[in-house]
Amino acid sequence: MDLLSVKGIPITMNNQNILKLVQTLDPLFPIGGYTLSNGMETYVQKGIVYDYKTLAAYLDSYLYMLSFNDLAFAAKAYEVEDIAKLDLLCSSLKAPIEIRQGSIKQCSRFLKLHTKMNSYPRLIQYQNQIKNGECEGHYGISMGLFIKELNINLQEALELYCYSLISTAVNHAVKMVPLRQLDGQIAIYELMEHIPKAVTTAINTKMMDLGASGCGFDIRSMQHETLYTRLYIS
Amino acid sequence: MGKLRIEAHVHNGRTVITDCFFTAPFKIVKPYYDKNRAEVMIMQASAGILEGDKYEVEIVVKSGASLMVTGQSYTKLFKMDSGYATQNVKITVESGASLFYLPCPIIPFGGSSFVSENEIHLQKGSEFIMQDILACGRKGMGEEFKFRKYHSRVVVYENERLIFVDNTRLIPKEYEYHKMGYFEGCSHQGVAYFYGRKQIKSINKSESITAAITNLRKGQILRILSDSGDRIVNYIKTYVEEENDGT
Repeated sequence: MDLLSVKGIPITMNNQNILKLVQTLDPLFPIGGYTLSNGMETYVQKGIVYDYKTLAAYLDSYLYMLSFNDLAFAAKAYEVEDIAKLDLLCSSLKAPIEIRQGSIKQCSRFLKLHTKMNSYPRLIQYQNQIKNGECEGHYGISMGLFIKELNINLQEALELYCYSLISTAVNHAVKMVPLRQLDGQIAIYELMEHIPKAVTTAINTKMMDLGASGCGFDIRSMQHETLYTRLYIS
Repeated sequence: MGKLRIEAHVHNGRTVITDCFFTAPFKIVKPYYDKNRAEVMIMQASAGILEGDKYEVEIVVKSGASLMVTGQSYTKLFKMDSGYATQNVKITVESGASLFYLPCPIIPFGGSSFVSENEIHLQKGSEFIMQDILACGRKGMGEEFKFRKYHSRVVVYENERLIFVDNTRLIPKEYEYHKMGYFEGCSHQGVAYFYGRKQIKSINKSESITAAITNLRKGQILRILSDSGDRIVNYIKTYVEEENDGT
């Protein structure tokens, strides 16, 4: 029983709520992040990402791109009332089919797990909207709704979300290239100082700028559909 | 301040332009025909797009009509001081109608700033192809990513419900777009959107072209990186010319 969600009890134990977010972002939280490379597998197979330096270059662009995409979708979900409209926009913007379906799959598992553990109204409502066909359900949006339910600082929460996306990408690269674990950790460590700015950009992203794409990222995600051998599903 | 409006109908089994209105710098020449498709070329009397320019383009293709709209030459976005230029394109393709909208590549000069909004209304049972090609600048002159802003959105509706949005938003002072994930060292990027066409199963091979295709919720999108705008134009043409026997 989650005492914090009982009506009438003010949510003041924010630390515990941050822990709840950390649990959700943990690679052990079974929403399938380990199966989605989001184009990284193509970059590695084509020999574009092959060492520490090229991984760092990939991450640099990836972080910039995220600030108009999943981080911004989460920030918008936190802010706007009309989630169905945002969900449709998100589905329309995510062009590569594996990226779109990966996001939908992660969201579905995310909501399933949460509705078994707790009963946050926004997550239940989003799940219902998906069930009745009103929404497709995207991971970034469900994350924004969850952060709102946790009543924690948006900037800090998105920094943690961003960290988890970066760390997942690095872990894929470390396995695929392969790289030393230490190189992977240094890459994350070096990038970390840029995460707050990327999150601030995401929070301030205008609707017109939402989902701004990188031609290279899209092409590599699309090429992934026809790679000869695939370990990942995106 | 340029305005252009083209409306195509079918008359006695032939596509005719029944409504055509334009103001300077737009001009269009008398359509020519390739089989049943009317082809219209939009000409620009001016050398390029200047600060403060506002362009409005509207194309309507009525049921049964087949139209192709092309451009005359590369669109140059000239140097602008602190202002910008805009272009709004509104396209409507009715059920049973077909439109290929294939404007020429755009070259943004150093200091230029351009915002383009393309609103596409498709009815179920229509056919539509659109391309959007961008150079990183006047590469021959060593001018790469020196523009201030290039923002082009393509927003597609099917029976008034949103189905696809392409958002190209490049502000070179924010990021170095020649890098991985963006232009990846190439000088040109291109995108082609296909709706109501026979499914493209695999991409056509071509030298010096990095391309990939994916299935959208409705239609398909082809993205291309290359060192030549002409190559991208010709590459997209190979798909446009494929026979369409499905919807």
